[in-house]
Amino acid sequence: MSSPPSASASSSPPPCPKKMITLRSSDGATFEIEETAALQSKTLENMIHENCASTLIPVPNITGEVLARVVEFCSKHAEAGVDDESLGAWDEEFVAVDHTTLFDYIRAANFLEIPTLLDLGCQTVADMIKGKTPDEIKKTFKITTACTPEEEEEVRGENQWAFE
Amino acid sequence: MGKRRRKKTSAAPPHPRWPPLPPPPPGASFRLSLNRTDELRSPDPAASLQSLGLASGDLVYFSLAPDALASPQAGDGSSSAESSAGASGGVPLGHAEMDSEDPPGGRPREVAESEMVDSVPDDAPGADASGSAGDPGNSVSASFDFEGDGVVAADDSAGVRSKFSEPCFLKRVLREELGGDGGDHRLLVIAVHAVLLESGFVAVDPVTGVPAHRFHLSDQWPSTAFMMTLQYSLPELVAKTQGRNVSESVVLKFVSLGHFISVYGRLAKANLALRRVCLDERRFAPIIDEMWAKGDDDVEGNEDGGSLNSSSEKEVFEFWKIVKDGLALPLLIDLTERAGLPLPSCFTCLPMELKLRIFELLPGIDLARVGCVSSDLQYLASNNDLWKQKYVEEFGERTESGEMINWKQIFTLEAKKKRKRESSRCQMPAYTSRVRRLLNPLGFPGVLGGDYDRLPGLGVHPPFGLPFHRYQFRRNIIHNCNLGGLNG
Repeated sequence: MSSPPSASASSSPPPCPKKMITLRSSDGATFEIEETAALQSKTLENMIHENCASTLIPVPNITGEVLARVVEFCSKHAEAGVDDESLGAWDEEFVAVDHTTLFDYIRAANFLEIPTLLDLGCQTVADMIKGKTPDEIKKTFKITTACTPEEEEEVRGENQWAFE
Repeated sequence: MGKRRRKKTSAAPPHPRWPPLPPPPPGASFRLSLNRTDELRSPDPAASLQSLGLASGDLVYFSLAPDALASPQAGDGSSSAESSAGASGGVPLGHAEMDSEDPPGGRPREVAESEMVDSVPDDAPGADASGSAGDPGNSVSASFDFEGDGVVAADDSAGVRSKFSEPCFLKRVLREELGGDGGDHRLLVIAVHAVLLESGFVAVDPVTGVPAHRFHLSDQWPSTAFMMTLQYSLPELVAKTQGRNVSESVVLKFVSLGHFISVYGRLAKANLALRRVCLDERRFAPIIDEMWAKGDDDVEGNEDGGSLNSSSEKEVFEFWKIVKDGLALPLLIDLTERAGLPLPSCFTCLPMELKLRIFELLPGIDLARVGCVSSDLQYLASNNDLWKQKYVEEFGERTESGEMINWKQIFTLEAKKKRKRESSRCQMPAYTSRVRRLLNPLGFPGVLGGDYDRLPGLGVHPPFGLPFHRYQFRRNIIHNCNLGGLNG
């Protein structure tokens, strides 16, 4: 992923060079992210404020592919002048991925403490669950269960009101 | 913590550093007790300790004082010993060697298995010296390692070693079957075992590699268990090898450190990332014990409003979350990857915390449905705090509060009531006319439609209105007026 272009129009004063932070994924790939974008992540923000962010930051739990996308997300959300509607549309497209990737985003957002991405991911999953019957949920997420039919019956009986 | 050294040898070497003990006082001057208050007496001086009700693993206090056992000065000299002792809450140390010239007969087992605490004997002789110097009020606790069926030379020498003061543990040991298991340890180990089973693992006999339908903990559980190992695999792998040595498995090792139990998990055949959780026995064992004692099957168990109060329930939830997210799920992923099996559902692999976060975004009805999917989701979806949040979102704040409210039940009741109200509203418009009349006790015209549309002069002073109709507007004739606003 290339870093976002540095600022602005010719009339503004010469921009000071944007501070870039380098992240390294679990598989060794490195990514540069602007400091303003990195501030979306509380983890990175803490490191920046404590001045630990001058060198490479390893992000051991996240693969290169996912980290790239996360960097893209943060950069997009740090961009000025993007209206809510188009950002919302961009977000929707961002999460239109397979489940594995979606859950990777959620995990990454949790690890890096990025509230916007975490909320987006969780809301997407919640929307996938809403309105579905348990069997449909099982199918959607390919959940296997070790419950016996009797146990399932019992639980369903307890929650009968939800099926009426 | 003081230094600890693990002895791997099978025989207990003598301890040259210990100063020679004073000659043991005659047996008759000993007062034994289990709780430091009541003395154990037996009419028959030759009776064995077992006949007094002592069991392997019990903590026994003794005093040389002729009168009743005084309160122990337990803390002082050996408090450092206590904190440095490797054994947790009250589990007796394994090496209460009685006498230098009477080597402990049946003790090789605990030496081989347990972490010996060498710093304690270093301290204890100090306490020893002061203790047996004849202080009348001094009662010092000693731990005797009883073999299940072995003979322990406990009735003559004054082997003072460790110092613990854990009467609660004692009570539990006494209450339980006299197998002499370390009660807290056993509870925690079984609870961790439960989480693993619930996550899809099957137990495997560590020696033979053959699947075990249940661990016979009494067989492989030494009474002074500081360490133990359990092994697990997956049903698919077990089925492949069909009862013979399973190909891949994970190993769990339990190590106790003070009042913590550390559980290490890793693949049996690979030295990959070691997973570790640390569990505070003092925090979790009482709650698990409470649950066990109440005989509950389900962990949430407060359907009757009283089985577990909400703080206990939260602790159990914390425990489950720690073990599941820290051990069970990562090990499950490791093992399936290693064995080349398809990974479990990515949703399943999500840590409990994140699943909970997703559930917070669901409306109550969907939360109930998702609870029917699988057992771990059912547990998550029954979280009381979660249902409280749902209730508040849907029905607003509720004034009553307290520890014992089952929010899911309350939510269910309210939801049913609401549904009934909604369905009945469609069927009974006449009901609303009575309501409307109540809103106009003085007969002043309301501003809703009805008569005021039909008779525009109503309520208007004469000469503009229709004076003799003024008193008729009380006959609120409502035909098919939709008075939805009244029902809001």
